[in-house]
Amino acid sequence: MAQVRLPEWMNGTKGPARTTGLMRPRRGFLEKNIEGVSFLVREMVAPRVRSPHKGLLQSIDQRARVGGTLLLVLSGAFMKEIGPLAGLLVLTLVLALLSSVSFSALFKRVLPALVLAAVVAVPLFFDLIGGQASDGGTAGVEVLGYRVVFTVERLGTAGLLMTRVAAMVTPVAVLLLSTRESDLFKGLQGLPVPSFFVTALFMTFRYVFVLLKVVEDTSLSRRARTIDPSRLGDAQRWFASRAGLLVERSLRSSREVAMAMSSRGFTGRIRTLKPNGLKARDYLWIGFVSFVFFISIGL
Amino acid sequence: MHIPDGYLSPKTCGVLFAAMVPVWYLALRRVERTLDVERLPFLAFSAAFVFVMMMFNFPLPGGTTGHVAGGALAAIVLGPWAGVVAMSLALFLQAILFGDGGVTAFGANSFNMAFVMSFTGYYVYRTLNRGRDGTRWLWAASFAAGYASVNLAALAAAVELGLQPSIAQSTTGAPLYAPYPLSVTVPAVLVPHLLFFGPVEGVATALVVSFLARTNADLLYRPAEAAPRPMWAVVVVMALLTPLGLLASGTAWGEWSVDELHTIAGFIPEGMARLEGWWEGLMPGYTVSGMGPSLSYIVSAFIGSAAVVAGIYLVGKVWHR
Repeated sequence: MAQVRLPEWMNGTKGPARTTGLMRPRRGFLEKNIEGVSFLVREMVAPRVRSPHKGLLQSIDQRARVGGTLLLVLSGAFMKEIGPLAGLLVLTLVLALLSSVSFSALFKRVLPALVLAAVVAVPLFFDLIGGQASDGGTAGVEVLGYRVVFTVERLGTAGLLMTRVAAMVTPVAVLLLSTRESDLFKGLQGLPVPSFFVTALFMTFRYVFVLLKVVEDTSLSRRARTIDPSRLGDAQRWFASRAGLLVERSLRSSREVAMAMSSRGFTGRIRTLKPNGLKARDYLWIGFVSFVFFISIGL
Repeated sequence: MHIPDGYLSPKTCGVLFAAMVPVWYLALRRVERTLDVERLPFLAFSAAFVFVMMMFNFPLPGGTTGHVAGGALAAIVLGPWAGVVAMSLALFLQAILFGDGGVTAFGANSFNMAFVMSFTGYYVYRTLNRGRDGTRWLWAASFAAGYASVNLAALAAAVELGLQPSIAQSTTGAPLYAPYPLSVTVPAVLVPHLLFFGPVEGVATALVVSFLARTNADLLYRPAEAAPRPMWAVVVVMALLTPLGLLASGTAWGEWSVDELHTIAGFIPEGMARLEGWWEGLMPGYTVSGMGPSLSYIVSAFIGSAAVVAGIYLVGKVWHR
């Protein structure tokens, strides 16, 4: 009986991962990355699929809702002090409460922007940022060889940045958590945004998932054929080939979709149904957010 | 490089949005003309491609990763104008649905990543690759396109952020938006891009373009040989120069008050002197006679919002007729 000769690398103890039924195959960086991105995109969309039907914002017309939210964001941009910005934030949180938006979901959405703002604000307290001696920051503590100074001015600047970011990011997060994508795109169509752009945007949103599925499938097939996922050159070549594949699929799919659209009578002109008229509560909402906006210009 | 909400003043956001309007208009016109009926799914798929590319990290030595912005790649594959539209669509989607980049900063982000990146990447690639064959030149041109485009876009973002303390301050002189001056933002943003993100963008762009050239070179954009129209160049240069207005102090040219005009010209034209103050508005300076300043301001805001509601109501009625 002929003896089976195993390849040299399979005898090594430090070599590639063994993919037996008892051990989970080791996932390379690319697989983790792709799974992470797909999970993130789906997680971002999932809350809106499950978004509550009833609530204050849900009862308002999509156009008024989207336009009003943008006015609230703009109000945050115009305000100049922490107090009014905190007031705007509280107002947005009350809106979230009245719209049955989950506070934990809202916090998860706003947190990354707050963390980034905090990271940006931290160097304000270090004296490596020059030109701040005039604010009375002569005392301080030494941290890693740098002097850290806390003064009212520096705390105020950092607080203003963080409050502004929170006040401007939260209205958009509340809108997203209380509005389905279809309503969101309908709302955008009511604003002075070209319908061509909104339709392209909606199609882009759908195609992102199509392309993500392509990447996931190719990642799965690579995983099924890979024994050693740790080689950098292979990973880079694979990245390039998948990006190339995405280009190819994108262009091929766009031609197929265009042919399908042409065969159904699409001539390049987008026609949309006339939306329903606004109701009294929509006008009330627009009046309210306009009032907040005009007030914010002087605050 | 995505600037979030709260870091740029409304003035900066407005200026950069205004700078992008002619670029979007020209880009849509150009794409519409060259692609006809196919343009919609083509643009949507291109934007989806850019979106997906921006989300994936690129493997680097030492187990680290880098993020690809994809502007140069989109421009090399789709052409610079379609690249602008695709990048803008992807950026809008990221801002509105995923909170990546601000809604108010959409104009600024589009200026940096859709406009500056696409055009820099495309023209660096074309200039270096023109009339040369061979994979080495292609690789080098794509690498340079990715490297240069991401660094120029980063420089634009750094300048926008660094200008904020000088153009938007509180009464005490404290910065109202991004708090660091140019001397801090430019090195803080540019050094990591020159040393790390630039090479990542360059290598990723070069790998993908080389792969496409090897497997299906027809997918790479080839411009129709036509003489460049000077008007477009003027519009592009104007759009690029528009943000310089942020540095200017004083009122806009020609919008002087009579006193300012007297200081500049040394006299006041008779007609202007006669008409000055003829119409001061319903509530000049947001004041209502007989009311305190705070109450006057609230009443002004109330009247303004009532005017907005009335305007929308009237527009709605006309639209439904």
